[in-house]
Amino acid sequence: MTYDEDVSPRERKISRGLAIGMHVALLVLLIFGVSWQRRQSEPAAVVDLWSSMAPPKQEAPAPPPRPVPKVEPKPEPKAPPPPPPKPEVKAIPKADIALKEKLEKERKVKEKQELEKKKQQEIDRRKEDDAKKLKARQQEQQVEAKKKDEEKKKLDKERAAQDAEAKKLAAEKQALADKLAKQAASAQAGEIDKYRRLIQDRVRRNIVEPPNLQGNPEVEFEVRLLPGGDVLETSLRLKRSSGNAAYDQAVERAILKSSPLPLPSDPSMFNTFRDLNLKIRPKE
Amino acid sequence: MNPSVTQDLSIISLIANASVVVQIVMGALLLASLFSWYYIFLKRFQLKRAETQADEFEKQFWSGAELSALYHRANAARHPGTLERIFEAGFREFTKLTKQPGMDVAAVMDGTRRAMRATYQREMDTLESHLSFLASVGSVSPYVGLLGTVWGIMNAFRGLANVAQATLGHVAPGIAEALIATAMGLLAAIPAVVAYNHFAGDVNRLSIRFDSFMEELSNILQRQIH
Repeated sequence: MTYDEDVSPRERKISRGLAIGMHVALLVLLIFGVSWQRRQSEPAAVVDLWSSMAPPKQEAPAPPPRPVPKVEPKPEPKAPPPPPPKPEVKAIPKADIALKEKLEKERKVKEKQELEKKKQQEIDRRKEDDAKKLKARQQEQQVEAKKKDEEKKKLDKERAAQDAEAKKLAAEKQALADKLAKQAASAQAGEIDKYRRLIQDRVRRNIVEPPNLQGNPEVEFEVRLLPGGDVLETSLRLKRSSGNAAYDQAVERAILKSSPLPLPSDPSMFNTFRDLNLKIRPKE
Repeated sequence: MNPSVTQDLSIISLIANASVVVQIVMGALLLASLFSWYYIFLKRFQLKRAETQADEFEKQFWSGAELSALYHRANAARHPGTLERIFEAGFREFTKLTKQPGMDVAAVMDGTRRAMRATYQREMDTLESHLSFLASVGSVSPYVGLLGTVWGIMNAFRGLANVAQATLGHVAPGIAEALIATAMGLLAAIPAVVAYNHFAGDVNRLSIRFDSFMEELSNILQRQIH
């Protein structure tokens, strides 16, 4: 009576089947349960180039005047009409109201002062006829001086109002310029995107893949371009290796072979492409 | 093998791209897991059957059937249970000894008890078989998995030496690969440990049950002598 007798072959078969089935189920669960990791890696395979290149949005504020007329002729006609109506409708009425208020205040002040002065004059006249004329003259002079002061103040206020108006106009102009710059930047970004893909494709086409290459490794090169798109050979530098030296060299040769790289025809965009940070993977 | 490069982190690619040592470790752990589950199911059936058979026999035994009739039935059974076997061995020895002239009661009872004890030990051995395998899988496979992990991480760092500018992206896949070995070790160990504890408890309860049955049977047999 041994162990073998104690366990029937049917039980053995069932146990074996259950054990294997359990492992298969576990494996299936793991493979499908961990698929999120694969999803994460997919975008990484698509996003490739220019991680360190300055994004176009930051650059935009500086060159707005240039790209506006050159790159986009359409926004220009649109641009001028908005500013004139706005200042006329908004800024001037405000200034008018302010002026009117000021004038009214000044008038009231003047009236009060004049009434007081008249009373004083009458009293003075009654009291001292001789001194009257002298005082009257002095007062007249004072009044004139005050009037002059008031006129100066008026002028100052008007100037301040004009300044404010000018500032408003300037702000509106700037906002418009910013908008245009943003539009230009987005257009530029599209263009950059297009040429980034072109460059990438050209380099990838020239890669002679080493036979021991595994997976989809990424290699990063830093390179400086000449205005024609030619690669400045001495500037080519390995920034981050893929871990496979043969592949790194293959990509380096491919970049040199791809020279001149395709560049946008607009020379103002060359600055963006001058210092390239090329990230290359063998597969897209 | 170039563990530091792959970006596809699915389980299959991680296993396929691991270094040879790590793959061997993973294979060993998979085998250990397969066998431990095989024995877990086998043991479950065996112990369940042993328990039901013991229940049935005890029911027959205490229902007042005659001992010789029980003995004949146990003799004729194709798959006798553990208690039946113990009873059969003890009763056979008892009848043999009582037929011999000049045997005193103590000698007869001693011989009967020895016969029952021998069968009991053999039965316990079959019930406990392969439990030690589950115990060793439970205690060793985490270490084996750890060995694979350490080896894989060593490889990952060695691959890092070729890289001018080291980033996490270079080490991470290698470490993820290596850690799969530890995960497999734990996956193999946890069920084995749980099953071992469970079965050890079951076997212990059965052995106590058999022990007390033996004592009761020897009492009944001793009474029959007089």
